[in-house]
Amino acid sequence: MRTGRDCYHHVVNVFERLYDLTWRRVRHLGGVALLGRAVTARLVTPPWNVREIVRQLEAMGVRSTNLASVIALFTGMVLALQTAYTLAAFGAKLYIGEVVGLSLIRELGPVLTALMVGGRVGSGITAELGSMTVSEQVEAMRSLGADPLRKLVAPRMWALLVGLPLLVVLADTTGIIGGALISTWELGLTPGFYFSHVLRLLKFGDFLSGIGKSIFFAFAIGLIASYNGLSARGGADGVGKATTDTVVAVAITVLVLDFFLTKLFLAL
Amino acid sequence: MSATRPAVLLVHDLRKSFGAHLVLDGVSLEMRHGETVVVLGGSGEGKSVFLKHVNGLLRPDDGEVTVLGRSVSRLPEEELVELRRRVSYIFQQGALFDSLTVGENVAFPLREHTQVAEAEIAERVGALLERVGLGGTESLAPSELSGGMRKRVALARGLALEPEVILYDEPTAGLDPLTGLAITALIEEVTRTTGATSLVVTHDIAVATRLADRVAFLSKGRFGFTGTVAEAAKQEGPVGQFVRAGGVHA
Ligand SMILES: Nc1ncnc2c1ncn2[C@@H]1O[C@H](COP(=O)(O)OP(=O)(O)O)[C@@H](O)[C@H]1O
Ligand SMILES: [Mg+2]
Repeated sequence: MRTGRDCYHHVVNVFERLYDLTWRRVRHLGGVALLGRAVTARLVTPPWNVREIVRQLEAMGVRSTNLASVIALFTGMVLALQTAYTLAAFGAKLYIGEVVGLSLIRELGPVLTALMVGGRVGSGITAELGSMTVSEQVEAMRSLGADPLRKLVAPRMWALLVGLPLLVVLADTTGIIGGALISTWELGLTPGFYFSHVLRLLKFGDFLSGIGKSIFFAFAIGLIASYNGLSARGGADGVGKATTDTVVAVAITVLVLDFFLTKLFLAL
Repeated sequence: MSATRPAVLLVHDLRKSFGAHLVLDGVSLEMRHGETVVVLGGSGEGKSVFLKHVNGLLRPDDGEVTVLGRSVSRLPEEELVELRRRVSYIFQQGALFDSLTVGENVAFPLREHTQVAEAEIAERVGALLERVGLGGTESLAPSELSGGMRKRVALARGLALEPEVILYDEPTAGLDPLTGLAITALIEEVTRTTGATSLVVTHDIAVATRLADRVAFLSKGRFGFTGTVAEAAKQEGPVGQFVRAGGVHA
């Protein structure tokens, strides 16, 4: 039987749990912010380990090109189809180039690439740094007088900061080509007509805003992934849990950040 | 403390908790130059946590840690680098860098802290591996090594900068008895030839009998006993029980 006292304790318990959870999130955010500051200091000051940056770029960037282009190709094709179908009443065929070009370059190119590559590369970084952390390799590095943020985190961040924008350019291009395929095969437009419309409304600022977003995404992905890796505890479970956390946190962060960046860039 | 030789290591009233979990509750220890102290204690008593305070991998909540005249507990991370060149930490599982070969692991501190040419690095790495009984293994990956070999490589890496103080975390844990004995003999040999001050944490009494000038017994967050192994065996209570369970009798 439940007495008033039990209920009271139950309620107190729920509040304690909520408090704990909130406090953990806040500490998490604080930790990520501190890491962000420490990492930024190392990103902008020499020495830069160019060989390691290139190695990371190759490991994460080059292997993501297929993923990024396949996703963009189909997104471009779907965009063309949907535009033609939903806006048919307005004679939308004529505007397919504009819709596909603008949506890809301003929004879908950077966001989809960040979501996919971020999940893939971010979880890879967390797994790698996490297993180094739980096997005491990160502490070993510190005990040998080397700086893990400079040696491990900074090259991965640089690789993301360089690689993600490049992948976005690739995705934009492939997506626009996808739109071209549908426009010519399915909708009977000439390629020349489609491409001239892609370029008609597009301004250099649109391109910059897309690339700008991807730089912010790269920074966030690298930071979240590194933080989760370096704070992994326990053994293989701990690393597995940290890796899953990264996939979820990266997805949420990219979408939330995208909203605010869109508002910001529209205001500029 | 002898008047002519200041203590190499001074730990005073060290306290450390993780959240609500109190691990170290006022640990004090003083070590003279060239001395070997073995910290004994059951697993989970905080031996590794204690050792990680000595080279600043962990920060105390309270208390003082002074090593080679520098206040480890107060120096910022960047200034600990200088001290860490002189203090080696040999991790329990070796903590070799997976992404590097055995040779690159041993070369790591040399590349990090010296301007030595590559040819000489290769030569020194060869000699260090020879010294721990693993000559010619430079190109192996850490994943190809047995537990005992990993500890030997870790020791070679730890000796590269000719440290004055060496910290060993459970040097024989997870090894079969014969390999454990061989590692203990190797540490004994290293201690003799380098004259390094050595702090060894372990739950292996055989390590203590072979290496220790003194043992300290960590229990409930404090050093309940400090003295020789023979004195420990005579103790009533947990210290004596622990040592006698390891086969040492008064
Ligand atoms: N970074 C940490 N965060 C939280 N708890 C820790 C941490 N490191 C150690 N502990 C806890 O401190 C206690 C002592 O650990 P440790 O020093 O590793 O024991 P041992 O004597 O076996 O080496 C354990 O209960 C462990 O869970
Ligand atoms: Mg331990």
